[in-house]
Amino acid sequence: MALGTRSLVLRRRLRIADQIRREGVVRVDALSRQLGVSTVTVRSDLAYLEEQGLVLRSAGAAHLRDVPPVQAVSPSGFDPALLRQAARQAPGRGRLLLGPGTLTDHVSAHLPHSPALGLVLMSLDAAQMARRLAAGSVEMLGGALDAAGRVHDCPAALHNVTFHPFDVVMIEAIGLTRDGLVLPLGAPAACLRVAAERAARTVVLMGPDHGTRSAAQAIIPLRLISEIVTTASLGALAADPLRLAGFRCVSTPADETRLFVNATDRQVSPVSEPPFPDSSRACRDAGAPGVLQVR
Amino acid sequence: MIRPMPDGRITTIGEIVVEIMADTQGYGFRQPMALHGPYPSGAPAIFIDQVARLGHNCALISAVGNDDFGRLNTARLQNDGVDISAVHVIPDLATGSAFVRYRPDGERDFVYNIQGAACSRTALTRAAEAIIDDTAHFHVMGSSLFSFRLIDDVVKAVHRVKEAGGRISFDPNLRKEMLDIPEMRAAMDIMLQACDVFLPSGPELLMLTEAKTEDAAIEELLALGISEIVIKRGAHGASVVTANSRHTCAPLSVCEIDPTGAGDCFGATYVTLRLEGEAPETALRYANASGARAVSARGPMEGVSTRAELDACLSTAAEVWS
Repeated sequence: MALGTRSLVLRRRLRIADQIRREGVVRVDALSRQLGVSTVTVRSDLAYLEEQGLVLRSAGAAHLRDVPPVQAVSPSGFDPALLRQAARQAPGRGRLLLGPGTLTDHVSAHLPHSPALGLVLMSLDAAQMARRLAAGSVEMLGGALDAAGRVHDCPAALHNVTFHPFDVVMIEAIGLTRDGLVLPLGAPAACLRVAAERAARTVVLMGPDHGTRSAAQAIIPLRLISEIVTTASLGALAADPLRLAGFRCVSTPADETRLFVNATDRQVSPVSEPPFPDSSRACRDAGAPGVLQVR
Repeated sequence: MIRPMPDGRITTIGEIVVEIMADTQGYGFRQPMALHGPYPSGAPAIFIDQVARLGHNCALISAVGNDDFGRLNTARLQNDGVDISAVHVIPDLATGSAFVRYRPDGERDFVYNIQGAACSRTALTRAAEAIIDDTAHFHVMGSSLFSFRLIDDVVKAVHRVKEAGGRISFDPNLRKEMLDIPEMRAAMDIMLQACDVFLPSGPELLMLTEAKTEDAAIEELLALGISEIVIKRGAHGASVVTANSRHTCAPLSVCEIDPTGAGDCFGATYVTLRLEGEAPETALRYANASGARAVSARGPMEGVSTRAELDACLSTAAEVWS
């Protein structure tokens, strides 16, 4: 039928694409036999598929090319390289707490397939995304929600982070001062500090500050932080102060990101002694972020 | 044969763009001129917006940039009731665009940013696959078949829908600016073999077959297994041909302001009404009215109609003719 012949080449290429997707790799001579066409034809088909970005050719074969994951919806134009680097700092197993934030809310979209990694989220948006994408368990940290659907400092949340510590905590910061890393406005500072005290590792994502600053800035002390993932430009500004505080800069796969690792011995509070015997008092004293008293 | 599925979801896939129109008639864009827009647009987007306006369950698989052009479109579709969970945002590419200028004879010249724009990353993501697995009717616009990746995904989606007992409609939507994309022509061939309802414009009928006359073309297409061929003739009305029937609709007299989107509204209305159980002749009459109303509004997506508006249009037309 004349109508069918025009699409012969395209159909064959679609078939090859299908096979590569299923098997990961194809060989020129095997395809030539299966499809009943010459190896010259197969090579030209594979050249076309390579041009279209689907495969990478090698001697006598071709393999499926990794397609970058589709980005989740990003209302604020964040930096995907930063998120990918942050995802590399995540453990393959255990419990990871993601603090609320424009960046941390999107980390789950970049995590590798890890069924042994349990995610604990502090924002409804992050929980929705994680629920769809994560391979392991997904929990929402118990506690009262603010207007943006994020868990904020309150007795229930403080109790949870105090008595159920995490292997890794990921926190978003918007800047660095002499006293430590500046948390975004409205962040649950008390909870995050307790979680960081108790976690084996605390990773900070430092991105550009898109919001307004308040006079009382919530700080997280550098001594609690194991790693800081940031952009190249922020990293350049922070390099000297961080070096003085005992961090060293480690190279990352992407030029646009920087990773700083705390080379000093971090102090981690033993689990049996909660820092706030009366967690409700801690919350009351908190008021504005940054006012929390440590006993 | 085709069985009605009144609540079945209608899904389509393809480019969301903004349309920016030249104020004055002329030939192309080689000097500065007054423009207006952006208007929400893209043949699949217009199609699905019309389906939504008819109150029918529907979804669009597409991609936009992280910019106002994208937000303009997604807000409009979402407000009208389209499921946009499978419209994903590509942070590093701009939303597609189409600049259009009318020639004095009514023909149009376009400058497109589609192949290098966010919409070129339209793909069968997990969200899109979930939509496809719950789709009763899948519509394909030929103009969306502009890259191998897209063709691959569309063909996969078509097979999935058919395997689940759903049906496929195909509108070539050929534009002269796209004739140099080699894969597109071949992909249209594949779609002709797979579709149940084919919606060409008059000239497209002959462009896609070997036949020299319309009747011969129709015979060729029916022999492929296509159930309904719905021929859009613009200002000359429309026809629907099946293996054992033929109906024609006279054009409704309207003031033509902007023909962009009329074919998409026509197709959307036809497909929706058939899915809801209306006979081909009835679906044709409503589709004809939908196309007519679209032509009399300025802006690609601004002439979509509700069922009530179509009923009113048809009863007024009946009065005029009786």
